[in-house]
Amino acid sequence: MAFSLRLLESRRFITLVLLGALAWSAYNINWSEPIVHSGGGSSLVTLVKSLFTPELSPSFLKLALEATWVTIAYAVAGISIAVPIGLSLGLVASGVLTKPGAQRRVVMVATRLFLAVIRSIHELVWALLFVAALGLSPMAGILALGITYGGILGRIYADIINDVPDAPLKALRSSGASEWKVLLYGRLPLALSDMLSYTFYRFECAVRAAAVLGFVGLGGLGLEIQLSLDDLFFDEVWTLLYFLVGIIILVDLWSSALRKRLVS
Amino acid sequence: MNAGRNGHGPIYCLEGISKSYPDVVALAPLSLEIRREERVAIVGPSGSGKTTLLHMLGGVIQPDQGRVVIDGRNMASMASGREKAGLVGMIHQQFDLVPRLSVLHNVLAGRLGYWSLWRSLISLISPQERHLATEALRKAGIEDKISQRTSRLSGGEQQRVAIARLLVQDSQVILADEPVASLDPTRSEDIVRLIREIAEESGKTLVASLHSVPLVRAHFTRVIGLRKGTLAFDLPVTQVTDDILTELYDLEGNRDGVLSPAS
Ligand SMILES: Nc1ncnc2c1ncn2[C@@H]1O[C@H](COP(=O)(O)OP(=O)(O)OP(=O)(O)O)[C@@H](O)[C@H]1O
Ligand SMILES: [Mg+2]
Repeated sequence: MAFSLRLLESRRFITLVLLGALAWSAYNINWSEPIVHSGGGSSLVTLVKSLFTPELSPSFLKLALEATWVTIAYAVAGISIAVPIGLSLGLVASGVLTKPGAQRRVVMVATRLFLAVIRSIHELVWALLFVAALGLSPMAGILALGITYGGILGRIYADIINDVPDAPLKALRSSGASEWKVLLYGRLPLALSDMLSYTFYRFECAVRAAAVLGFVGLGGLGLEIQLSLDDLFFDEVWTLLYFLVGIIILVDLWSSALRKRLVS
Repeated sequence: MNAGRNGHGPIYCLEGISKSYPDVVALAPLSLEIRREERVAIVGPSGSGKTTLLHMLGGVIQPDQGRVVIDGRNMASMASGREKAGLVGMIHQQFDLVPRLSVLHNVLAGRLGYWSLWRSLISLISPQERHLATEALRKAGIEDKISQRTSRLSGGEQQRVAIARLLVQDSQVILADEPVASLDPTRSEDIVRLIREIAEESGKTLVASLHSVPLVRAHFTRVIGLRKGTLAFDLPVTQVTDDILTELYDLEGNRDGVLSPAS
């Protein structure tokens, strides 16, 4: 098991696989067909033109704001589910609370595999599955985000918790602290700033993902973009995209301000 | 206070303890006793086994052979954190504090061996036994830093925080592995004096590795010399001459002058 994991992670192996995939896809593309279809040319021009004339009527701005709000709400709710999933599974996957031995290795590998499975399924696919099960409810989108991002966060949290410097932990142990106490007073405080900045980075990704979730009918910016695209109202599309960019920039500013306060 | 609970018999009995690593014998079988209230300095060139010995005294690593008996009990079979916390506390050259936590929490970490998990968790929000930390920081001379983030303190101040942590742990034995190696001479003198006073005041045993002869002479009662993992000498401090020390370092071919009797 350890051997096969190492093989999968070795750089040369990954490079070979990627090069193979590239060659294979180049071979399979039908180069004789034009890449842009014939009718696309004129709509491309309108699309670019409307970049400079976004729809700014009050009623549409209000709609865009509402859609933005829905998208942010999805992202926040999704990350709120993802963080506890990531923390609990990440802790198990890091193996810091269990005694060394064969049993720990099995639990660690199994948890890491589980995390890999849930994050390797794209949030859109999860969303479709949940829509099929729960209908078009916001819960479907929130769960889809929460599960995928829980898998991503869990894996990274496990690594961060493992890579904390050892000496302060040893000092805590030598004064009689159990592994749980070492976690509370050593590992978590030492890992906190890395975990926080990574979570913020993932929150940014979740905002984008939440917008895209609209395309499966779950409301928010994605749904509005799709409706405007269907009607070929490109100026509306651009307004919505500007709102999306706006959120991302705001999240970025917020997270770097918070990080600065934490690190100093 | 815990110190001197049994009050009689040696605090440590080392019964032929040894430790080897794949390419080196870190410590050849060693047997000796340490009495309560002794202040033992361990000296020797780099790689002579000082850290290895201290770690075995602290139960951080287990000897390959032999056993460490502390206060009449076998170190290896000591199960509970509480029991161990009352017996041995350690400080290191690199202080080993958690930079992100406040000074207060780093000091209170010395209580973790006594607290339940639940109480340890509560303490992060509402500090428990705060008076112990205040008192310890006062003794260590940095009372005013109590609510600072530990990463903001200087090296000397951090070493005082580590000492305060040791004070609230209130163990019978204090182990110190090169506690002043990263401090300037004046600070070193202050810190070693502080550790010595703490040990003397409450009748604790002190075992420390050091590289400075004047500090050893001024503050310790007994000197153990190690060379390549074997015992070179074990003498009362009054009988340790400059010649003995020079020989300890020269036989090793170690002339980089870390420890020079003249200094
Ligand atoms: N974990 C380890 N793995 C392999 N060898 C080790 C390990 N720990 C110590 N050693 C070796 O054991 C010997 C004794 O090391 P130790 O750290 O006890 O020396 P020391 O007297 O503390 O030296 P210094 O003054 O440099 O701190 C050295 O040769 C060292 O390389
Ligand atoms: Mg050492």
